[in-house]
Amino acid sequence: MKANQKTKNIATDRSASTQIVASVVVLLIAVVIGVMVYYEVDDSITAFDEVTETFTGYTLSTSNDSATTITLDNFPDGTSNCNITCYNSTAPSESYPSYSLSNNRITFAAEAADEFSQINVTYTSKMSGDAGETTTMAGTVFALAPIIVLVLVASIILAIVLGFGGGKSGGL
Amino acid sequence: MKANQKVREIKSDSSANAKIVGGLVALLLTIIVGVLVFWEVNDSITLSSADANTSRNETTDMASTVFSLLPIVALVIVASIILSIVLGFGGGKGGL
Repeated sequence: MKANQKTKNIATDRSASTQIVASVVVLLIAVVIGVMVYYEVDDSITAFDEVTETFTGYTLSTSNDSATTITLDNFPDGTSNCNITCYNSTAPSESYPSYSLSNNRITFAAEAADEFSQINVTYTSKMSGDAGETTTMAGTVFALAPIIVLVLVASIILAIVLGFGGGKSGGL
Repeated sequence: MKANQKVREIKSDSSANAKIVGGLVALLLTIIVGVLVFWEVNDSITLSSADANTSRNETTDMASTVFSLLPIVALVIVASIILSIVLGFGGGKGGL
């Protein structure tokens, strides 16, 4: 690394100190720009957001007479991340049936919900869950990247200290 | 991997720092774009057979595991850089 390389030349090169500081600053700026680019791209992908889908066309009087199955556009990330609301636009009222989830199919039994004219499903997709884990790890990586600078500074300090007393073991 | 390759050239390349960080960001972005592509394709496929659905579930479960593990590569790259610098403490030949 340039900063570290310059550490070895610091005793003879008059501009080494400046170059060490410059390379450390370049590294930190690169990390900040990297953070900006990553999160701008991540935030711009709307598919990673929470999804709300609406299913209409149910006849109020017969809507809960038989089991209902709906197919979502994406695979929900488990039942804990999926909320179903059966909506009656006439009353108006809402009911929350218990349901089973298989891939992207949601099924609930007859009479599990009150009469409804519309079903609203809000869920976090598996895609979003996987991307979230990458983003969490990216946060860790971006937090660790500046430690490189810390280690570089430590290496410079150690190199100087090891040279105290004119010993040969010093890095400088 | 570009980021890792650059670690080897780090002694002679004055812009290696920025390239490594760029490589890390590219890696992370590639992973989330990969996640997006995989799940968009998977979600668009409708399977009628139960066996096919079972196989698909196994594949998607494994894919989720792979996507969870991939970002660790970036973590390891950062760790390798730090270790390389630490190995050079005291002017030793092992480090950068």
